[in-house]
Amino acid sequence: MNSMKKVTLAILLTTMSLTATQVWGLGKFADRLKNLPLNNSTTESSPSDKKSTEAAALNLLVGLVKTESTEEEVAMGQDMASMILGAAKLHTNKKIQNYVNLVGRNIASQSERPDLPWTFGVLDTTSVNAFSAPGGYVLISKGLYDLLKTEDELAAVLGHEIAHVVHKHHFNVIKKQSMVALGADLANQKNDKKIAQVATSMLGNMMARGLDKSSEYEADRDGLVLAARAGYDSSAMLRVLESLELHGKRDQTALAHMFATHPAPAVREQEIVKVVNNDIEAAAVLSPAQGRIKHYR
Amino acid sequence: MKFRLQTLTLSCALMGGLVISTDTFAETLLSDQYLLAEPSPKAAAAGQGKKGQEVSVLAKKGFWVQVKAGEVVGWTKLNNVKAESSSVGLASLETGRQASGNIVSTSGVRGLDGGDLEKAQPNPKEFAKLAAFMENKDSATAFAKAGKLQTRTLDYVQTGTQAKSKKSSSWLKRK
Repeated sequence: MNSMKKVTLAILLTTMSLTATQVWGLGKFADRLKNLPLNNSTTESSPSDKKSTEAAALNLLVGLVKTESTEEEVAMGQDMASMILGAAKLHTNKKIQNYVNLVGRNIASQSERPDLPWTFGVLDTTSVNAFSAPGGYVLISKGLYDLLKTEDELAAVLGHEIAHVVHKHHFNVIKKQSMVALGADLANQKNDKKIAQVATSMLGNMMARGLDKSSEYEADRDGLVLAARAGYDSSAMLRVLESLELHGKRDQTALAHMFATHPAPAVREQEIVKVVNNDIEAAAVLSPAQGRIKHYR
Repeated sequence: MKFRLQTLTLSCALMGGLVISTDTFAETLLSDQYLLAEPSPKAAAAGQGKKGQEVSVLAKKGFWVQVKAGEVVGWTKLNNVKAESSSVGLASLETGRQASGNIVSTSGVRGLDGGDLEKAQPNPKEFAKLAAFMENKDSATAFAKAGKLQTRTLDYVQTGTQAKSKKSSSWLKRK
């Protein structure tokens, strides 16, 4: 089977449970593949044809990786959010869901990407963690929500996740991984099954392995600025990190995985403290809305 | 870090900030410095502390800590106090899934760890519910206004690494 068919098969398998346009750019990618001249050939390709097809396919992969399309970013985020929700459903308290969306949307409006389809949700789990997905999807666990004592602390958590999206942290990592994994398999003439596995596991790998520490520190720094722009206490993230540390000592199970895979709260606090300037310090004042979270429990 | 949150005291007096009482733990000062009567650079000095001096952390407010250095009780900035990381031990807990290198994860919900997420199947029905909760900008602004929130103009803090890596990022505009 030539490389063209390998790529097409991979796309077909990848999109079995999703529409083509939902798979981050592979919808468009597949359309472009169809237009390649060798795709319609039923005869065995010559070596030179194979080579040119591989080159064309790789060029398309490079194009996918380099794309700056918001539409593809949002589609990728929808897939990621949908997969997370496949493992943990939304909490049934609609009042909380509405509240988190109102607070989060206002903070996102202070960012450089106010026009994304910002959507927030609280996951029905007692464990403590938060997620963001490309395109503006943010999910926090009910366990984390319950640890937050003020709206300022909620804003700090949401600001951190919003910053990940603003900086396209996940999007860029997935694109890079896609290029490396799919491109290498194509070039090495590996079997179709392997290519399909790579394609289908990309989102799962992303969610499991995540980001490097520098991205987390950047999200901490810029997240507190976003929250402060919206009128919240710029130091609230320190309070959240202290709560995480304390809660981790009481209930290691709830946070064990988070602590094993995230920078330690105390280290994150040190990184934040390093960059505090006068403007940020001046914004370290509890907001008038700090107590509002009590009405949304 | 040895700071431990023991009780949370909302204290809107004075500067209207959050004062957090902590257990008293020994820390050390990173430089010779004045300890201030209030958590403000404009506050009067309550006394002096010496580099390397062991202090007890009494409370925290914003980016400040109140310490007891000998007989002197005063405030200093968090970055003037040596912060030891007691969380490092927690960070290395065996969980059956280890991070490699400097890769960290954004996952980790109980019952939803890395392995589960890798195997997770999309749930379009639940995603539709999520999408239905999306709020528009105007509603969110109105809610902020109801909470008496006031927006601020504030720049991101640029580190050396960031400045280098974002030279070509035209989309990242300052507010």
